[in-house]
Amino acid sequence: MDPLTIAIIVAVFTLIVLFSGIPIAFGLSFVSITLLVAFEGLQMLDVFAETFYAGLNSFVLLSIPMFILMGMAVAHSPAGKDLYTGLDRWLWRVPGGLVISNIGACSIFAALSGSSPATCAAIGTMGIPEMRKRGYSDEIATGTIAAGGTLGVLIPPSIVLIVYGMATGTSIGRLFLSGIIPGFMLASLFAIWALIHSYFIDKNASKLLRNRKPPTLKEKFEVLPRIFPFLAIIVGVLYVLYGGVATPSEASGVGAFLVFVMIAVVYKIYQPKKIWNIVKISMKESVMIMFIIAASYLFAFTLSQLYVTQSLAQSMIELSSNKWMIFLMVNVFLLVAGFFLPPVAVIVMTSAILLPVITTLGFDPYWFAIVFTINMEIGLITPPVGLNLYIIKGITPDVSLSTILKGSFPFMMMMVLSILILCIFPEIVSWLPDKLMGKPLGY
Amino acid sequence: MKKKYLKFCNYTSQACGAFAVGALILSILVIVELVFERYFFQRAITWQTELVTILLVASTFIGSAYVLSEKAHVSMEWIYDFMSKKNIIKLKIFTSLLSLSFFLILFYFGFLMVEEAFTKNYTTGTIWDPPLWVPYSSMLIGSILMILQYIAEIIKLFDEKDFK
Repeated sequence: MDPLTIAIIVAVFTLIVLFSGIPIAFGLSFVSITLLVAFEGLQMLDVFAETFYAGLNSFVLLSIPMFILMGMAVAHSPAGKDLYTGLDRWLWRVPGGLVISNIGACSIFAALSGSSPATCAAIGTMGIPEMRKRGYSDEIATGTIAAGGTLGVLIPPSIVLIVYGMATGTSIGRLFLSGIIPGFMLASLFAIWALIHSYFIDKNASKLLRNRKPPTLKEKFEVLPRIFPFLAIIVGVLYVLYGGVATPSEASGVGAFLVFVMIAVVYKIYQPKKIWNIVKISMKESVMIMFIIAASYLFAFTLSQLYVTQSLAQSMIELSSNKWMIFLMVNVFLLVAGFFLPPVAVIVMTSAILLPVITTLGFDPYWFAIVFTINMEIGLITPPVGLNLYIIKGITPDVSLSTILKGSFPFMMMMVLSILILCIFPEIVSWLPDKLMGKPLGY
Repeated sequence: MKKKYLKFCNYTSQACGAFAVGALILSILVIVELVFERYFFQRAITWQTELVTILLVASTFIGSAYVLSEKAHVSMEWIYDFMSKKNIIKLKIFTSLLSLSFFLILFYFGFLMVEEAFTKNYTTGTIWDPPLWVPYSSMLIGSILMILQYIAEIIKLFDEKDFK
């Protein structure tokens, strides 16, 4: 059979199975086995178990549970609240200041956590009720957090970038450096939208703000000592990573350890039961992600066995002579895939197809990683598997999903805008890593 | 009998969760030890990365049964909005059977892997060189636990009021 026909059969079959509500990890595994047996015969089952095992057997993957732990530990201490109050007290004069504080808190938190849902949960739990109480509309309150949460996967450490590095063989340290400036650029774009919103659209909120009592200088300074330890951990992890002390996986382990020490010292959270619960919640998320990764490896192996990977990559290159045209199609493809699948699954499944296309066309794989990640961020705030939307729905059960969507839509446009900006100025991605690590070798 | 089985599965899934949590905590400590040993004593790393990787794989496979019992494996449940309660349960039973069949296959081939590694005395071939059947068996144990848990989930679905 023609590989492209097989590709269509694979796509339709996978979508039908996944839409049935089966857990995505098991659905992908089931699809892979069925396809392998159907097209290649029963003898393929001999290698399947080893492939499945090999998908998980990697030291690099350790950073996933560790960075989740870091985020969860902070999320379950009052640190998020302090971070948030601190920013609010310092930004009180700015119209839409509370929204901007939330975005700021999300981006700082993102630097402690590699996970987008964790960021959403940590900041949203305090942020959304507070914004609503102070007269911001439900749309902007929920939309801000949904979008701000996605910064978790762009600003390092980032689980999405770790998996990208592993799947494509690119340097994770370099990927992290590449994500910093685009991450803060995206956060600024979000803040700009918040300003526009409160100046021109939601004027009530800024009126309410004027009647507010300004925070005293003492109030402004008393929150600082509680924020500094966490900024210190961020700096510490960055030092361990780029000072040549340890690899990303090791840095993540040390980071997780430091966060636990910090919450024990600053917030007196050291009771074994509390620690146990934090690890338990993190374990749930990481097992879920790890299983999806293993299943995606099996799926990618199947695609390559059926020669779908190679022929899809080939036909994509032949499709158009204009490299930007192909790039546009790749983006649309990623966007659609992101609607249906969690980011890690999309990366593992498609990187073997897309990376050769991208490098053949002369794009930088590190730059592409960031564009890839922003596409995945959009998928996190769109149904049907937008994880962030469900987390926010969990925080505010009385706000409808369509209101949350309406609120996050302008932020989604900001993400598209940021991809455009990155296309015009690719230096935004490459400047910092080039400066600190020199030009990349190869590619 | 049925009650006893469900109780047993509930108990094992809790134990799995505890194992996975313990494995993660141990991993953190081993990593800290590793970085400490290399940075301060400049000693070579022999067993740490390998042990941590084994722990990570084990916590994923064995913790999965607990995650299933907590319904924390992500899925697309969009289609449920358009279905009656009874049909949702029917569909859930069907998809559970699909997952169950996957784990049965994984169990069988996982068993072959462990058996081969055990009888032929395979090792990982590293400096530490532990026997290979140890890490492999976590996949085998994990799939057994998932089979037990999925059977329990299917029993629970059959027992639901809306289904009868």
